[in-house]
Amino acid sequence: MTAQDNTETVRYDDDIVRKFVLATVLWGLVGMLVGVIIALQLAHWPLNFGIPWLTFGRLRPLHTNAVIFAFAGNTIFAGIYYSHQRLMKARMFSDLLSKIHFWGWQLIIVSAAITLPLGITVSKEYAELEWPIDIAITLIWVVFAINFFGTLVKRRERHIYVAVWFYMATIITVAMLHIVNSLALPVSPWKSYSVFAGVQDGLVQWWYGHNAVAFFLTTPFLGLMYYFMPKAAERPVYSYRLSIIHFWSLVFIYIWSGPHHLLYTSLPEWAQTVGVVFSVALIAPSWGGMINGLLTLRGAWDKLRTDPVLKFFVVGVTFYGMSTFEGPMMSIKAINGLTHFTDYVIGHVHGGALGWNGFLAFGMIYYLMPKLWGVPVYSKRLMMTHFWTATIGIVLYITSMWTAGITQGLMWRAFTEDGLLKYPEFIETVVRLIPFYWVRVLGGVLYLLGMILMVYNVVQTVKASKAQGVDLSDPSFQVRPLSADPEDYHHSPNPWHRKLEGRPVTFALFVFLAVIIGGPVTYIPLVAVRSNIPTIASVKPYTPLELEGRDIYVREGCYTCHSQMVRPFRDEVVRYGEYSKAGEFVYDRPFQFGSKRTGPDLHRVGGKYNNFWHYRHMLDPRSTTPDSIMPSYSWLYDDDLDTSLTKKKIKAFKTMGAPYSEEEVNEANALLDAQAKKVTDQLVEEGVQAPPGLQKKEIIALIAYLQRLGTDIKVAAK
Amino acid sequence: MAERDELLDHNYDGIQEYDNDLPKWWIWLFVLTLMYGAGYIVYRHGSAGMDQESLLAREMEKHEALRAEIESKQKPEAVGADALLALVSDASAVERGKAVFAAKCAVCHGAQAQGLVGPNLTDDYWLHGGAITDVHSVVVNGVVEKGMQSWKGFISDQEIGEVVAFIWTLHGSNPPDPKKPQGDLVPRSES
Repeated sequence: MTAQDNTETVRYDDDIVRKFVLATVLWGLVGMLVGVIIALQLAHWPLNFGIPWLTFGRLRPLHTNAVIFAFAGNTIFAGIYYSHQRLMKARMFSDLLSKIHFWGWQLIIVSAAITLPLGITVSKEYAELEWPIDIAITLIWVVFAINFFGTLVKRRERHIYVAVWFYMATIITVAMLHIVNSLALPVSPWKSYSVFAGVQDGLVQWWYGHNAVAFFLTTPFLGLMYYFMPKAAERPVYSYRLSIIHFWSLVFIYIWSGPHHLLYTSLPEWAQTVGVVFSVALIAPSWGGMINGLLTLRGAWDKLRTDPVLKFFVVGVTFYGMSTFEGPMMSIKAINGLTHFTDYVIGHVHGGALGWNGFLAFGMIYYLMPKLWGVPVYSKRLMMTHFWTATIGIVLYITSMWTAGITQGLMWRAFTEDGLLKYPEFIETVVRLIPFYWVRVLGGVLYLLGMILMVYNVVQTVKASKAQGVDLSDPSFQVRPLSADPEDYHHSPNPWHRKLEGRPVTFALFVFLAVIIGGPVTYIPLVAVRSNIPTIASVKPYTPLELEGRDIYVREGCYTCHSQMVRPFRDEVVRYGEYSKAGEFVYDRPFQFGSKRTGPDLHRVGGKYNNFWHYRHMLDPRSTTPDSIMPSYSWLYDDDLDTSLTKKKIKAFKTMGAPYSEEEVNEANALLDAQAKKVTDQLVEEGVQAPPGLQKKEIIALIAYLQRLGTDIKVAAK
Repeated sequence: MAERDELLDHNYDGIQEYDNDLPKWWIWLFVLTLMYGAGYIVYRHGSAGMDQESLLAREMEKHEALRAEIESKQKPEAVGADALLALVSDASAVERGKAVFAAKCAVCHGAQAQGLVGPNLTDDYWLHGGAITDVHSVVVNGVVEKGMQSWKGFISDQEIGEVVAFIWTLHGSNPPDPKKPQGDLVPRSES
């Protein structure tokens, strides 16, 4: 038998890659545009326009979801569908599954873009989508997994390359994270409550949230880096050994680090320590990727001057190295105490998102354009301009947020010599940041401008391809099938690992083992061991009206600007009151700790002001806090509270363990009405000129909730 | 860095790999971070009193000692009726009190103290006593159940005295759009 007889014809499906590339560009534009809009809203509050679906609290989740799952998501799929076929020397397992994956994912994005501005949200960061969409995500992810592993099975390359290891880790871990964090009890098609409560919910959420960064924004992008960088540089990968060590250490250690989002909170300290220790240990595994990327370019540095693709890659990988050093530093408690809840964190994530994910995506797309459309990229000069505009944009963005964060962090904790808060009014620390917010807008606009140049460049390239009538049918290759010959592994520097690379299913199993341990080891004890969350007898479930008010708080995205977590610091105890205890959150589904204080903490706001104050404040925040940058929420005074689900909601909480009596469940609506009347009467007594029907309005429920916040332990004190 | 740059016989879609060793500094960095972790666990959990509650308790102890010391320096008569009334006749103190009022009190009591979220401070009706020492005590301690915060610790004791003095001068100023009277009638002559 001659070699000629032994070959098969493979046709790669590049059409699906083209689709994902175009979707990436489109959603990138949308996500970044929304980013600029919300940056403007922070610098100039009237840009919230007093329209519910345009307010910051609802648009911020849209921005994060669009950038992470639409822009970065489509980038990942484009890169994986392109490289996986070539690394496996096989067409994707099923064209139909590829199409279902593509259109299903776009549909999910569109449903997110509709539901989030409508206030349909579960308020868990980067997992805000309600349960029907969560199910759709799960199904599409399974489709992707079948397609991906199916291709692995019919591969014609014995060993799987490091890029594919990272893809595998992504697919397995994201599935695990998404399913656990989305577990919820629905009360209607568009409303559900987390099965976890309070501190447990917080821990599960940040196990998810941190590892969304790890397994949606890091591992897949490292995989892309391992394929596209050596390709673009035409240089061998620096070190195979390093790729083995840093891969396994990265996927194992990352999964434990989530609690660093909850330092100095009510999370038990052993869990906080787990977060600190594993986060610091992440520096080297992360830098392993950076080193292997940058040192691959040895001997190709001259190309960097002229090749925009390599420019994007190098700066992207450098930002990766910077962010993965900064992250562990911010996980050290002393530093975290200063930076947490401030804009510093926003600067940090944008170093990663704009620098690492954005630049890797841009480099990859510019690399792929000629391969996919058969013509050179329309304008090299525009690519270069894009590079420089975006780079300057990032620098302005990050430096302004660093400065804003440290400025505000220091102002919060500043005391006079007499032991008084130097800036007792929270608003003083906000007003100081407005100039930085404008610099951030400028940085964001520059980055968006770069993106617009890219859209133009892509459109022109596709047009040129059409004009020249380039044949876009699937490229075909002659490939030898996988031979059954046993291989001699003794020549490999890592024979054991080399063998594993030839057994993808076993490999996947090891990956699963590496990622499955870290989460449950922290959150199962928190659910199972009672002493971790000391109960407080005086803490009672919310009344029906308060619960409805809480749902409005969630709907409006109040958590995007207000925390509910007084940390055990002198300045926070003096400013807000008693620090927050784990036992106070046991009926909080979902938890509302928040991650950013654009406004003050609200955990002890209950009883701090009278109802009238809240009534005026929500209608016009400037009337009570003259320089406030908060949007006004006038619709809460027009819209009647929807009480059609109240009974079901109380029942759902009872099902999940809240000690409501049968009567409280059955009489939920009557109880709600009675409390609404009481709040309204109080308002009138305090001097509100009550408009007709005030008692039925949403604002009454929200006031009831805010007045309840953090007050249960005060009952105990009395 | 030992870079042998020996190519392995790996070839994935044209991508090759070198068999270079792990950089030494990278290994040391890894070891160092792991040692930091071990040291950190011992530091935080190896001895009692390093938990965040205890750390806070120690910090608050110092804070309260400092506040107690500052307060003990204050002459007791500074918060008595005579001292407060003396401030009322001190034009510059009243002027400073006016500024404090505009910055802190006006949002709830109105720019002219006519009453808004909080009660009218210019009429003869008082919810918590109409003596100047009563007004002072409300500012110091707040009336938390009604949404009046305690200003002690937020503004200095001197500023509290000055703002109380300023409020005292507003009696009978009859601002426009006053809030309806709340509390008990305490004519100034009886207070």
